[in-house]
Amino acid sequence: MVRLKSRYLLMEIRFEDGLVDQSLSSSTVYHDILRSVENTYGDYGFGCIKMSFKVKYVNPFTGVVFVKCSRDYYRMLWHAVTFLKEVNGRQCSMNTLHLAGTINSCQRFLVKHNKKQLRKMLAQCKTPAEKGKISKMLKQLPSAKSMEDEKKKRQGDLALKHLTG
Amino acid sequence: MSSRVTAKQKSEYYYLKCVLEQEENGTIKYIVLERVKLKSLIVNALKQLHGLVGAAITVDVLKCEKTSGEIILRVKSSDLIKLRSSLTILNNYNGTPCRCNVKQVSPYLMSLAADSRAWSPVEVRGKQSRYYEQS
Repeated sequence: MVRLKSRYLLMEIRFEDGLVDQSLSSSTVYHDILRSVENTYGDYGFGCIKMSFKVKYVNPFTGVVFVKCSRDYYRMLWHAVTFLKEVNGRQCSMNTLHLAGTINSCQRFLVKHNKKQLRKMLAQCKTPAEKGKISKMLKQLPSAKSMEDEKKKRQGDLALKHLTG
Repeated sequence: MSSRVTAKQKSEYYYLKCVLEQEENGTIKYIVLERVKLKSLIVNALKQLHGLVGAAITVDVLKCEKTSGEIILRVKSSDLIKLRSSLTILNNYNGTPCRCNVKQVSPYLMSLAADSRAWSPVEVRGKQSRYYEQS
């Protein structure tokens, strides 16, 4: 058996006007990215990418997108995404935050990234109400210690899996 | 004493000899184009198959022979595959079906001068076959 290896890209859509688009769905993102691939890499690139390209998750409020792609051609996808100008008919730019081999590690990165963003937002807060809201959110997040424990446990599991086959 | 010349490095450019062909009433005819039109045809073919990345490839038209319809192209060796594939896919000129027949590809321009495949046993000299002469 041959395993089909894939890569997951964590991307962020930023609209030009700084607003969010609630009507953003995975199918519109899928078609816009594919069109951009066809534009930059032509029919050949389109064929390569379309084999295993999938939009796994879209969050219209934060603009976060999880994308799955074959490992051989993820660079093509990455390049094409930088040339993307429009999603859902609105001017935007796409920013790749993370590249990973599993969707799980992408998600872990996203949690860390969001934590950082929340801290940044906390520093920029002007009213006490906003400050309270964000600090409440920060408290709800898992602590650094629990995340470290989880990491150790995961590594232990992997090692065990490796030893036992 | 004869000396041997060895090229150690990979050559920078590749040269292609090709012919644009078109079928008219069951016979194959050459299409003879101006350099600018030919270049635009090639760039369009590259853009179709390889997109903007392909259209950015530098292809030089070195020669457009008017009598035999032969074209000699020069391309960077890293872009050879892209050019060759899009010439294969090329199938249309001004709405009429056509094809690009790539006759020879070589890293040395000089080797395009002689084509062993185009060699014919009938010599022009005296319009007689060489075999005929020998026998």
